[in-house]
Amino acid sequence: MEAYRYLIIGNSTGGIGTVEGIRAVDPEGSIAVIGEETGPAYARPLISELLSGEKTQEEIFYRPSRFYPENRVDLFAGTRAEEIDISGRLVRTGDGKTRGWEKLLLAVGGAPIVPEFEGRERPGVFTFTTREDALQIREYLRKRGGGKRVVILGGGLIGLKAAEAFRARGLEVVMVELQDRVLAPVLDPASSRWLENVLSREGISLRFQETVTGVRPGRTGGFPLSVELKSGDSLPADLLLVAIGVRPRVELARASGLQADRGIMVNPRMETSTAGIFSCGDAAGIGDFFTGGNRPIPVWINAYWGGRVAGMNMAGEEREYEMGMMMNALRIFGKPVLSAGMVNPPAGGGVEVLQGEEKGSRRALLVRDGRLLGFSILGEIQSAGILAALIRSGAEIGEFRPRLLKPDFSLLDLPRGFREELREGRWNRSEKSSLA
Amino acid sequence: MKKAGEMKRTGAVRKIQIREEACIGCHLCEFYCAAEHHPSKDLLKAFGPGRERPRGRVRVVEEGPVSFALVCRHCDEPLCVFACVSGAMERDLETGKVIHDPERCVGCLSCILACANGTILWDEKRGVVAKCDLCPGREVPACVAGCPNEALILTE
Amino acid sequence: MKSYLPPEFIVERREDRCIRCLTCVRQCGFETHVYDAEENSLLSREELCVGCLRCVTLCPTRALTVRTNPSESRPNANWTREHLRDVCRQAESGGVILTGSGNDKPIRSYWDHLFLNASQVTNPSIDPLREPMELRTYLGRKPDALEPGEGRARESECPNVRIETPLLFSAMSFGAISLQAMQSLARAASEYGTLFNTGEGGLPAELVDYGKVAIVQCASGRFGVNWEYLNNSAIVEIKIGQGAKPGIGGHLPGEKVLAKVAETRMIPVGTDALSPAPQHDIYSIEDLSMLIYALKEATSYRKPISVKIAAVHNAAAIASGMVRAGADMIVIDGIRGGTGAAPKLIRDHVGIPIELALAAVDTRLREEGIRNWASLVAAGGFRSAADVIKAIALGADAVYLGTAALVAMGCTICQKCYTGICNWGICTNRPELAKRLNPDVAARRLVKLLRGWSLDIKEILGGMGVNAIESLRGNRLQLRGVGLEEWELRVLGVKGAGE
Repeated sequence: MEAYRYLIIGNSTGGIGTVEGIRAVDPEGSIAVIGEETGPAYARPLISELLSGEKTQEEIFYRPSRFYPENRVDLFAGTRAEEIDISGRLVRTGDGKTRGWEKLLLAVGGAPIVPEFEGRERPGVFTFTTREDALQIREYLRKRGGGKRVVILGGGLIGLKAAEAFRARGLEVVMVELQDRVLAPVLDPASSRWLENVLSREGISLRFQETVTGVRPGRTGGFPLSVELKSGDSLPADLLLVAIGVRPRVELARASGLQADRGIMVNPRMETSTAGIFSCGDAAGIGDFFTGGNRPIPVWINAYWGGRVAGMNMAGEEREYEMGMMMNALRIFGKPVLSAGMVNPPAGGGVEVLQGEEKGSRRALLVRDGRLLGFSILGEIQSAGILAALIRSGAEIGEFRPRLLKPDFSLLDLPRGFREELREGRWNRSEKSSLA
Repeated sequence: MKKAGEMKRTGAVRKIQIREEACIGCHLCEFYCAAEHHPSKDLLKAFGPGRERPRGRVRVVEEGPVSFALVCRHCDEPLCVFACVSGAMERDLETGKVIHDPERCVGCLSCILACANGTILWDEKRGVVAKCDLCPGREVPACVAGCPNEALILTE
Repeated sequence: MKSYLPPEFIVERREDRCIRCLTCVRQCGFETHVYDAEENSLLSREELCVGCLRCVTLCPTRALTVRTNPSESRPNANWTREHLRDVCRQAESGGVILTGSGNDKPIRSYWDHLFLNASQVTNPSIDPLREPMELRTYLGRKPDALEPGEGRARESECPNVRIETPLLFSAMSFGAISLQAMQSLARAASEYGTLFNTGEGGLPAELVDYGKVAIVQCASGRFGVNWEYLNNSAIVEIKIGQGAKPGIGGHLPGEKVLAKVAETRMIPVGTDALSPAPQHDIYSIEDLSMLIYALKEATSYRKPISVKIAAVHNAAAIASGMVRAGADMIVIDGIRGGTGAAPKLIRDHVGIPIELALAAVDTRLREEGIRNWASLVAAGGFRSAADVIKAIALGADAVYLGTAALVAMGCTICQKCYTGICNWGICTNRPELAKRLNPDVAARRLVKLLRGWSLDIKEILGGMGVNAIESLRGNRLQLRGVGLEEWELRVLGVKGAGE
């Protein structure tokens, strides 16, 4: 039986972040990564480029091929962790092997949610979270001579990127969204409207406050599917893509006795309820920046950064992660869409929304008690990261707040002391920033 | 080959330090940077009449008497690298440089959302970002060498 | 009224080299260069050009040349171009012509007619790279005699200030020059072991740590003078006159009196800072003595008190009075001394050359047997270490460097100091211009200048076979005159070459 100082379950960004975090502290300790999918880690957000055909599989590798040997990582790809034996410090995998560990990390990600509608198992109904999904959809469409129309259930980030990819392949796209707008969790309503104009111009038809109730065999126009909607409409289509989100994969953790709620519970050091076992990424419930409560925040940077912090702690260097906020960057049909923190005012009031719109660009900022809580920016996004840093710093934005709405906002718009702090890299609450 | 574990133990990491009280707002850093990253490495050839003007990786902002260059500070724990979805952004283990590979960049803008200094520039035309690479092959980066008032200095 | 003044300079731009970086546009505080975005063309409003060469220096492709306007009216040895211009200017302005910097007329430079000696055969020269060479100088009154067994003068009687080279920075006030410029001077003085001079504008709060290397002035406006100021200093200097404008007071216009200047000068923001022509409590040597002793009382007799006058006709007699009034150091500022602002006519025509005044004062003090009562500092247009060493041979203990220090910092002597616009960030208070002078850079350049000149002095001393600057002081035998009249040789106290 092989035993490792560090065993990492999950070969996507969280797992890679963990490897890099460990190696930043411990150059020697043995590392193994178990990955359910085959091959080296790839850039999951780029599966839409794989679908559109803009990129090949090799072109979406997340790290160069030298990554594993250079970091002396044993990669076991294409096998699934089936069972964790905490007392024996063992993991049993689908290939029948058992591997030992001193420190364990779970970065098992999330599973796509598919509602319980009739016909969900029918060929032509896909989810879209893995490279394999993208390849299968391509193969499916190829067999259908390219296809003509797809229905996408879900107007979120995955749905939008898929829509763009399908448009690039020349398909008609109908997007069905339960809410009354796209990207509702990551944009303020007015920004959603702005983006919807872009989507409509790009030929995507949007069906809001609507959902899929079933998928039946197609009856008209040679379409294999008929997608039935709540309103009673039915849409003939080649393909239905279900993209309404992911839920954290907590089953393995729960079965092993780790505490899990909406995600695998971790403390700021990214350690689970059991000492020596860590978690990160979409599976982990991390400290919410605003509420302090644990919840998964399925965002790429959270996965990597949380993994890095976990890795450093696993290797013995104390680090805390307090990022825990939504951050999304997207470019859809060439239009930049960035948001971070809180973008929709919570019920109960007390939150102001500042908005600015100017030549093909708009921004909305949420402010409470003179502090920035979040923003959505479309169009001119050059200095969005400074706003994100301002959220993280918890700084009072007092006098310069009107400046935050300027499209050409930059460090220049902050008071000198703030600029110095940001230049010195002090913008986190834990960095003892004097801004807060 | 450098051992990966030496990642954070990179000794003297060269960084460009900004001294805004000495910045005279001449914008020359932008031009020296752009020329250095032009195939010709020559100001006259890069900006000669009738040519498409290249963009650099440094940008000067100014308002009234205040001006300074925005240029990557090559963070030890670079959020742009953490945020990069494609792996185009990388921190060089040996030099501590945060380097960006435009070939692998998909223009997802995640790094721009992550950078607390706003120093990663979005090149809409090419659909990729651009950032300071500390001028490989030069002892002193072009902006630092060209700054007439030492408002940009190289620290180790 | 249309101006008849032709541009003084013309700007030549090589189109094949101009990359439209607009550095020239941004750098010219006089707004000479204009960019036309529609045409993508650059134009020069040459009538605004002062010839400071800021644009030429910063142009990254060396596309620019600034030249004196070659247009000539009919040649006339009497009605020179300058006379024509000045008549024209006054006909258009009806006022006094103001200027800055020092006298630019071809006044005889006696330095250029004095030549130094060197050792040959009968006494050995010294290699300063191999042997110690002393430039250290003490400023202040020296005792008449030392009692046997007494190693050194009692400090209370003769406070002296040590400097490592006989080069001091001249009085240039905060307000006239930028904080950055003053900071550069202070830092360089501190680093090299010499002194800078606050001028009459007080010591800015940012520079209080440099009091140890400051000569603080007490001038006719009494700006910034208080107990702390006087005591946070190396030397206190009473300013009676200035070589560039003898008999004339100072006027810092209200526009230049910004918050920091006002605070330092202890006057309201925006008010004109008027330094009266005379010190109104000094109408006689006796009055001067009262002020000298008032300052000695205020500083507990711990600091040398200096008195500075412009070199005028009877400087020698006045200097004698100053020394007898209690001055521990006297400063003679010659006709080539600089200024931030002065009427052009005064600058160019009032006063006498420092060489003659210095020699006359030194001679007079020696004759009266009181030369040791005060250090003698010469000022006004020292251009090189050669000028300095000749001044020391004529009797100076040290010299003040003003213009040379400014040039080291970037000044090109465009003489527009009085406008409040200085493209080099030296003689201005406008923050966007003042920041062009980075004290890190300027202080380094000043230190290098001090070092370079000090090395020059050591080389020349070595050649004379002298290993200490002390041994050269007042040693006029080391000088010979060439091309000088009998009376000039007599005043200078030097022999003609070959004599």
